[in-house]
Amino acid sequence: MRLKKSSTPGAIPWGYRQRLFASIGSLLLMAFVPLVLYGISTDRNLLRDHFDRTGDYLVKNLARNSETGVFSESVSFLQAPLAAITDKQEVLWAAVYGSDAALIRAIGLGAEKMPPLPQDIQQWMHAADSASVRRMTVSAEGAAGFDFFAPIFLVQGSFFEYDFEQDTGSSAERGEVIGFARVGISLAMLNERTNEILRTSLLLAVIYVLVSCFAVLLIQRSISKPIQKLAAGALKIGAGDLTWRINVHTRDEIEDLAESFNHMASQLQQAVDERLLNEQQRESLLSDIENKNKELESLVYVVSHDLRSPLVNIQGFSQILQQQVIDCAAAVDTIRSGMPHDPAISAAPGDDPGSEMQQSIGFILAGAAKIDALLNGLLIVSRTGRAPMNIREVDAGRLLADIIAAQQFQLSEISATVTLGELPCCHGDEHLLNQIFSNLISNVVKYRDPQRPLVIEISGREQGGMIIYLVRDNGQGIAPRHLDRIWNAFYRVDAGLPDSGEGLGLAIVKRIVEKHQGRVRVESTLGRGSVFYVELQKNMFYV
Amino acid sequence: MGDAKELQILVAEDDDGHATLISRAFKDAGFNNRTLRFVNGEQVWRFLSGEVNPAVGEIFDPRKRYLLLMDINMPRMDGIEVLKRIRADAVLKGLLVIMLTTTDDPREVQKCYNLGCNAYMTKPSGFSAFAQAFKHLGSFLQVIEI
Repeated sequence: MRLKKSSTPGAIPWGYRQRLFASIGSLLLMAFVPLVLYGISTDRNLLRDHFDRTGDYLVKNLARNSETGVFSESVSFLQAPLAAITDKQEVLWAAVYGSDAALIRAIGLGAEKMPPLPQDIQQWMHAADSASVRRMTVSAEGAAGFDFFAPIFLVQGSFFEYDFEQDTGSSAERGEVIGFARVGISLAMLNERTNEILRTSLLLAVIYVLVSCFAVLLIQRSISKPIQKLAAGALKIGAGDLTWRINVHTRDEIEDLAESFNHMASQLQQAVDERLLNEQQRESLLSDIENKNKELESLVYVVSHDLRSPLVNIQGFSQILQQQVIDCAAAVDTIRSGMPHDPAISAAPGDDPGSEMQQSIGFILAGAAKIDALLNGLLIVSRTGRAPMNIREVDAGRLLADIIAAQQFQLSEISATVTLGELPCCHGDEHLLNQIFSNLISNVVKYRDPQRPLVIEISGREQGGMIIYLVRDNGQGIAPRHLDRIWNAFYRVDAGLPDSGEGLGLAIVKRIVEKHQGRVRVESTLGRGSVFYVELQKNMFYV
Repeated sequence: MGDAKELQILVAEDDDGHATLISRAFKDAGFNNRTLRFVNGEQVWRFLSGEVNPAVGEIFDPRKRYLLLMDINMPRMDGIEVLKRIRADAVLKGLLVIMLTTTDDPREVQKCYNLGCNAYMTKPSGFSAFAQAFKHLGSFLQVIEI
C-alpha cells in the first residue's frame, strides 16, 4: 500500500524529489551559466587587448626597423626585421610597402592571400604621424584577424643617431613618410581559447552537476528517510499496531509530526484499552446475567417439575376420596333406607355430610387443577427460553399468510378483516416466529372490541439492520397502567374473561423476541386499539 | 388377560403416594397381578441382578416375564441409569420397561427412547386418568404378547 499523492488540479504532478532536483538544478544553472559567460567575455577582452598590444608593438617595430630597407629599396635589409616578427605564432603575415603603397616584401600568407589594402590607405599614410597605428578587423583563410598598419618615416640624419627614446611622434620632427608596415595577427587563438574555456567549463559543469546530484540525493535521502519512516509508522499504527512508535530524531517539523503521530497512537491505545476494559466488564456482566437467567430458568424448571410430583398425589388421592365419598354416601343411604325412621341418626334437612365432603374435595381438586395449569405454563415458558433455535431466513409474508390461513375459521366467525402489507424477510427460527405472530393474533382476537368488527393490519419495514413488524388492531386498547405488565407471565388484564387463558401468550412472545436479539413494545389508546411492534434481525446472527 | 396374569409387575418409584396410586390404578384397570415395589434405582437393579433381598422376598427369575414401571427421578440411582444397565445386559435387554415421569419434557422423552425404553408415560394428574392409562396399557401389553 502506498500513501496517496495529493495533487491539486493544474499543479505539476511531480513528487518532491523531482521538485527538489528541478529547483536545485535550475538554481545551479542560474549561477553557472552567467559565470561561464562572464568568464568567457572577460577572457576574450583580455586576449583582444593582448593581441591589440602585440600587433601595435610589432607593427611599430617593423615600421622602425624597415626604414633603411625601404629608403635604400634593398629587400635584403628587410629580411631580418620581417623574420623577427613572423616567428611569432599568432602572426599571420608581415609586409612592407613603399610610398605609393606598393608591396616591397611580404612573408607569412603572402601577397596573394592577404586581404586587399583599404582604399584610403595612401591618404591615411600621409596624414599619419609616428604614433598612429591603424587597426582593422579582417578575415583571412576563414579565420578572424587584426590587420595593423604603421607608417614608415624617413629619419633626418643618421639612422643610428636617431634617439628612439626621445621620439614624441610628431611628424614635423620626422620628415616624410616613405611607406608603411603591415602585420596580420590571427584571432584564431582567441576562438581556440574560448573553445578551451568552454570545454573546461563544460567538464566542470558535468562534474558540478554530478556532485550536486549526489548532494541532492543525500539531501533527498536525509529528507525522505524520516518521511518514509513516518509513512511506514503511520501505516503500521493505522493497521492496528497501536504500540508502534515512530523513531525519528531530525529536530525539525518531521520530528514534530512523528511525535504527534506517537501521541495520537498512545491516545488511541489508551482509548482502545479503555474500551476493551469496558467491553470485558460488559461481557462479564452479560455472562453473569446470562448465567443468572439460566439458573433462574433451571430453577423454574426444577420447581415446576418437582411440584408436580406432590400434585399428582393430591389430585390422585382426592379423586379416590371423591369416589369413596360417593360410595360411602350410597352405602349410608342404603342403610338408612333399610332402617326405621330415627331422628337420632337421620340427618337434619340440609345437613348432608356427604355433599359437604364432596364440596370440600371439589375445592381441593379445583385448586390442584389450577396449580397444575400454572405449572404447565411455567414449564412452557421455561422451555421456550431453553429451546434450541434453527436460524434461517424467514419469508415473513408467507409465514403470516400461513398463520392467517390456520386461524381463518376463527377470524371469519367474528368477521375480522386482516390486511397484510409489505413484509420484508428476516432471520430467525421459523417455528418460534410462527408462535410470536400466532400469539399476537390470538391476543388481538381475544381483546377485540365487541362493538365493532375487528380490523388487523400487519406490515413491516426495515430500519438500521432490523425489520420492524407492526400488528395494528382496533380492539379495546390497553390502559396505561397495564402497559408495563402485559409482558409478564401470568399477568392478565381481565382475569374474569371466560377465555382469558393463563396470561402466557405475550410473555412467550417477549421471550422468543429476546432470544432473537430483538425487541417488542406496544403503543395503545384505550378504546381505540393497539400497535404491537416486533423488531427482528434482518441478517444472519448467532446465539 | 390370561397371558398378562403371568406377568410380574415391578414398580420402581420413590414416592409412596405414586406407588400406591399405580398399584390401585392397576387393580382398577383389572390387573390382579402381584406388584413388587422398589423405592430406588439401586434396589431394583440389585433385584434384577439376582440379589436376595429379604425386604422384597423374591428372587429374579429370568424365565418369568416381567414388566418394569420405573420413575426417572429416584434417589441413589435414577431410572435413566437403570435403563442403560438393563439394555447393556445380555439377560435383561429384552425386559419390558415403561418409564414414568411427571412432565413431558421432549428432551427427556427423546433420551429415554434413545436408551431403548418400550414406552414412556407422563404421570397423569388425577387418579381416574391414571386408571384409564393403565387400561390402555393392558391392551398395549396384550398386543405385545401376540
